[in-house]
Amino acid sequence: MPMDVQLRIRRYNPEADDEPHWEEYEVEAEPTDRVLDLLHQVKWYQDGTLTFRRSCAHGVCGSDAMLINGRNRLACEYLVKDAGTSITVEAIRGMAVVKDLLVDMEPFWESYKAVKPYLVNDELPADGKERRQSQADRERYEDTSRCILCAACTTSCPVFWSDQSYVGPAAIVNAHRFIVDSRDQAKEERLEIMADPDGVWRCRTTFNCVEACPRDIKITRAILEVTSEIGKAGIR
Amino acid sequence: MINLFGYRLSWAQLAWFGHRASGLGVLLFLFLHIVETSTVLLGPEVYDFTQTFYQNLPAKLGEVMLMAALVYHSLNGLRVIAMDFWPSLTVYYRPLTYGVIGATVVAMIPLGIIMTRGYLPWG
Ligand code: SF4
Ligand code: FES
Repeated sequence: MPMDVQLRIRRYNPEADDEPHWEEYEVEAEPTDRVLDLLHQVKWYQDGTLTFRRSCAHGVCGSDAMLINGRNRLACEYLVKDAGTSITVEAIRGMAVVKDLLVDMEPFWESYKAVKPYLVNDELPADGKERRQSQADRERYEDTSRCILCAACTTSCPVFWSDQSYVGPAAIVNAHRFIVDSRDQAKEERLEIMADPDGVWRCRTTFNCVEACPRDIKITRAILEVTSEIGKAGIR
Repeated sequence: MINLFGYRLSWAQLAWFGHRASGLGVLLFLFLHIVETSTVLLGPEVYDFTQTFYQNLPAKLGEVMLMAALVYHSLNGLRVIAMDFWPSLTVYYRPLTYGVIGATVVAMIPLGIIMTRGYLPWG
């Protein structure tokens, strides 16, 4: 049964507006529609100037994290039947808004790149072909390798809201991915980066990131595993 | 749905906020306590006089609040320390958070009664 949904969107066009403002739209939706479908309805049939980012529309690419009903989620994964008939949508926090729901992700990518999110190993594998690891070693980064870099975690963190120089949970998750990988050789270097005053120590275990992550990654566990690796490596 | 800074408040975030608030509250009391105790240097009469400030119901309730802050801050601190030592515990952050909040409430029932017994009808 289609239902009427009241959609409130925080809009901002830096070329025309001094301040962001709320705009309301009435849309008809099926309970199984996603919030992304509602945004499409607005953009395609009501107001073509609405700006947001999305690509896969199936929770894979991580491009449509938004602050929906007071919490970070992927618009393409959040169904109307769970969101209710009155839905608010804002851009994720702590990032410069380019327009409406679209934010400048550049600082987020900078933090991501800073942790060297790639395998570093200059030696040839023992058999000249592949680097083997035990199932237990593979298991250690199973969880953190599932990150889709949507930024829902980092922009849900009160520490990040108050100071964007914090590298943020997403970068730590991706550092963890390689720090605990038995094949990697840049562990020390990554731990040094993580031990920076703007690194892993700034986590205050508020678990907002864990609640926001669309992949259910155990982010705080990864963060604390990195702190304990820093401890074991004797880095100050 | 409660919002803090426009973001939906979760119990875990509230627990962190409560940790800060209780820590700060206890610290402020400590300063007050130092000032009040140091009046002993001005002689027993002055000290006895400052102690009369605590002999009323609002002050007693303040002390109960102080106790609650101490109990909560210690229990929650233990939770945070435990997670630091065993990161896998973070997977159970919800029950642990509820546990700390619940244990504080449960502990405060007898403590509150004992502390305010002089003001209770049967006290
Ligand atoms: S850890 Fe989760 S919330 Fe954070 S960027 Fe990765 S997928 Fe998104
Ligand atoms: S559009 Fe790709 S994750 Fe939502």
